[in-house]
Amino acid sequence: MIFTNKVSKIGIYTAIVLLALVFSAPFLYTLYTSFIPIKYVNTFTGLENWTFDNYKTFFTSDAYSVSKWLFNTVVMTGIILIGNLIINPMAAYALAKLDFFGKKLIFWIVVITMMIPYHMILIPVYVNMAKLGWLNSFAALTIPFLYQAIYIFMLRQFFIGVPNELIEAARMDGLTKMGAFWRIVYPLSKPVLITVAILTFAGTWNSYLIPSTLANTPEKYVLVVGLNSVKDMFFENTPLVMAGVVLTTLPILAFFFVFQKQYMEGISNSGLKG
Amino acid sequence: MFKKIAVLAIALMMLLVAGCGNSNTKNESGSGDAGGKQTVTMGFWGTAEDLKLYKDAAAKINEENNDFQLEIKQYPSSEQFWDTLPAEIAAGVAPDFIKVSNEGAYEYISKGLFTSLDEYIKSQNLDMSIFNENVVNVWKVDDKQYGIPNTMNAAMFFINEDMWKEAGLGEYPKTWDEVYEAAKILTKGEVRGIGINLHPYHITNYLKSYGGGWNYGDNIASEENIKAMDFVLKMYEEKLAVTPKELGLGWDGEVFANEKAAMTTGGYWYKAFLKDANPDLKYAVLPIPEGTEKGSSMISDAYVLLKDSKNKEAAVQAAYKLTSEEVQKQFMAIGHNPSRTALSEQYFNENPEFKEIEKALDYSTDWEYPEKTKMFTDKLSEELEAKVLGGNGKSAKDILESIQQSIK
Amino acid sequence: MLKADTYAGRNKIKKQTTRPRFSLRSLADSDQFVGWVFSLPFLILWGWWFFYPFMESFVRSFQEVNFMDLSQGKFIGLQNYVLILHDPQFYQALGNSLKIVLIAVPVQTVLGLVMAILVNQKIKGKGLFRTIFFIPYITSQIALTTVAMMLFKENTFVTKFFTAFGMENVTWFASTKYALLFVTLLFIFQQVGFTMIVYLSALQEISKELYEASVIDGANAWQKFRFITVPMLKPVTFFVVSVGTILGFQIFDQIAAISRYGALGSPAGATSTVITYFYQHGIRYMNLGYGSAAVVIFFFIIMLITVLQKKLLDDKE
Repeated sequence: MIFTNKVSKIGIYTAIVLLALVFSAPFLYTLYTSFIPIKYVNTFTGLENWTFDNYKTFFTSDAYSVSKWLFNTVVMTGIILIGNLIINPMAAYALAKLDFFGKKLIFWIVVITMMIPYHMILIPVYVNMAKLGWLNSFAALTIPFLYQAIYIFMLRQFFIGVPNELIEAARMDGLTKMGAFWRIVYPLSKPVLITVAILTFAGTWNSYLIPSTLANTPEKYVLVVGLNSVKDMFFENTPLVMAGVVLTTLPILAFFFVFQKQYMEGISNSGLKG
Repeated sequence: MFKKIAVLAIALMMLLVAGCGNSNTKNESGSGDAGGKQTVTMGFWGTAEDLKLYKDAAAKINEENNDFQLEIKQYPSSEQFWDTLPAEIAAGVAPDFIKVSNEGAYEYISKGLFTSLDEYIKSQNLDMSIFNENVVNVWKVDDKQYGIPNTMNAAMFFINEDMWKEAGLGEYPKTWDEVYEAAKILTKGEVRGIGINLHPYHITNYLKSYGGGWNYGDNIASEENIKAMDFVLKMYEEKLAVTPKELGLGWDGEVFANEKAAMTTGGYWYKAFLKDANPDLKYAVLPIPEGTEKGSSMISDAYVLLKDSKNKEAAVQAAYKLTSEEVQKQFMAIGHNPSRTALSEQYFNENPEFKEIEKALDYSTDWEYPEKTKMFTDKLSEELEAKVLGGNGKSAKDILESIQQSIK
Repeated sequence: MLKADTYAGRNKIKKQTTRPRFSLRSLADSDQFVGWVFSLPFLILWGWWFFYPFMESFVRSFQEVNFMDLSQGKFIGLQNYVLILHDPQFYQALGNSLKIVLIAVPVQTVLGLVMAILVNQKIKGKGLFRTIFFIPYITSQIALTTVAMMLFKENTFVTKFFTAFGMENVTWFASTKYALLFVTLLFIFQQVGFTMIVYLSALQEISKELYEASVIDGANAWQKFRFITVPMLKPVTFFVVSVGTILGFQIFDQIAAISRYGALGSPAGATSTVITYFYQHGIRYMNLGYGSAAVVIFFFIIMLITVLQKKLLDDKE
């Protein structure tokens, strides 16, 4: 769009390929390390020494229940994802487009909440969970995290850009303000909702500190916590850890790869575009 | 889109409710009366092998007694355990007893988190004489017994045999002065004579061999300690020593396995590590060399009782049962030296490379870190890194004095 | 931009005639009601699982707390605050945090925008490139740092490459000179993927006609960027910058990874930040009152910065 001629096209490709090399290098190195025996760590070794043993350990050793960890992770991520795709846009829309008593205060609540890292209040949260008997349950892993102030803030910045005429037009067609949001604005915000989905997914899937604190029995380990408990007898086995990293990262990569295509559609394909 | 999400939401909420329900019933059956028995929980962090070992042991113990039901709780890591412990105690969900290392236990003993076992040892007539006398003493503070020891070992000194022979050096060193002379010869190209990890574990052994120590935080800048620290710093100033971090490595074992240092202080875990990390490496294991006297630290795991435990009698009983000959044999099989005197002899027969260390067990002592242990160990690392990596001009005395200052 | 002015005219006329009486429908059409209904799920969860625990921490910041019994805190007034504000290590930590933010935020914002524009072009394999640029953001930061640590040791090709820019051939994260830079670079590397996809979704919202119209007006590529893209992205830029700042202050995993087996903020406190300072005192040393006071101070600092940024960047409201 911005660049059109051939010279700039070559420039774009050069830049993008160089960046891609830098950005994929650490992951490729992780991938490499996950395939070698521990004695070759920190060196380069040929294909003949590569092995699947590190991966096999996860799936064959009866000490690790990777499938259970995966199940826990999927359930946790799924619930949080859905919560975030409903609660965040609602609050964000109210802050961006509706005029109601206390709106300014709620906006500042969102901003302030965003600023405080959650692990600073993790100890009181833990104690309150224990009082409710929630520890080591999906409730503990999900309910406090069904919203994210940061995404409310982000969505608000996007909804501000939605033209008021669009909402008024929807109301002319018989929708209420509530209906206008659910039926018009929400479906039209697909790109930004997908962004929120991707970011929430990645953040939840990878989280360690919170799940390892609030659910620390092996039955409720999520993938990252479980993989972290996989250590060798007396030391950390780097290739095994790296295999774990690859196993954890691949689902997010797949999720992203599938959903980033939606950007191409975006609003321009929604039919409402003038 | 909204409809799809709503359907998914409902499905997942149902899962959530099911999940809560499950975990609740589980909790009830866990803390409730499994056939009229009290439940005691043992907490530990370790490997999946450890967990299996403990689960099997617990199953057996539960079969054999009618007083209590032993449950095992594994934590993903030691940091994880210590970081959530305050919250667990506040919430009343901490385990009854835990397995800890003596490197750090004193902080919790002095804060009143662990409770003395004497009362229960007496009431249950537990025989502590089956354990190595020295390790039993390591778990005493102010003459009160705080731990039932499970494993023990003394700190060790490792030498790369091939490098030693190549350099034409004769007998292995007995004193730090001999180590210093050898290090000068062994330092060649990318190889340094000795690896000294700037970590309290290693520094403590230098102090002890000069007759010093941390002494629970009293008189840290003592003459003996200054002498020991001077030696450590001299090795760095003359570029005979290397710390793992400079090389970008995690810990001293990696330095040794990568053959970047010909000698290093270390521990019994080297054996299992070197077998995987550098199977061809030939090494000799000696007691910590002498500075002015024989001295090294003893590292030991033991079961300690939490003050908040509601079933203290049963917890101590269970802990003692976990040090049975049968269980300790399994620990031996995965590389630990059992605290039982009889089994320990067997351990040194089965691990001949550690034979020299057996004698060191008699004079090895506890770490005796100051009460604010974590603050102290952090400060020690920081001060030494600032000196060795940052090149500030502090002397050994300055360093020890500012550590003393910070833990007031 | 979304456009629906075809309806706009009709709208004005009809508004007068449909003044509704009280009904469910009129409730669902009232700003007050819908505003609160939409905010309520968030407010409930927030009050329950954020505000309440945060207030507990706040109260604790005026106490000396024995973690054995959290309810038995001893009120000691502002003593925790006074101690922190007199601790030179706190200022070292604060200085390091500010350095990270001041370097990382501008770099990742500009780089993220450039990358978003690149992968928004009509080029082959852009899905793949988007995914690659996003990898560092979604990989475990501890693992990523571990890998970076293998690359930034003395005598590796990466370290040697940087000697061309006047850097010394040393292990970066073991050097009190370079460790903070190492952490900052890793943070940028991670965060730029986030910036990129936020900008990428914002770019989808910019109407193509705006660009088309500008071409008719004879605008060149730079003018289009300067006078259409940049202004249209302003609200998102405010978001990216303030989030970058907040996350820059919260950077933890990278520091934890290079400080393994040692004190947080290794080497010798060169990478200590306000968050590692809190973590050491509040959690590691179990001094909950002191740690909570550090949280409160931390909070006011970021609050101040965010208000400043809002003044500078967000003139929309």
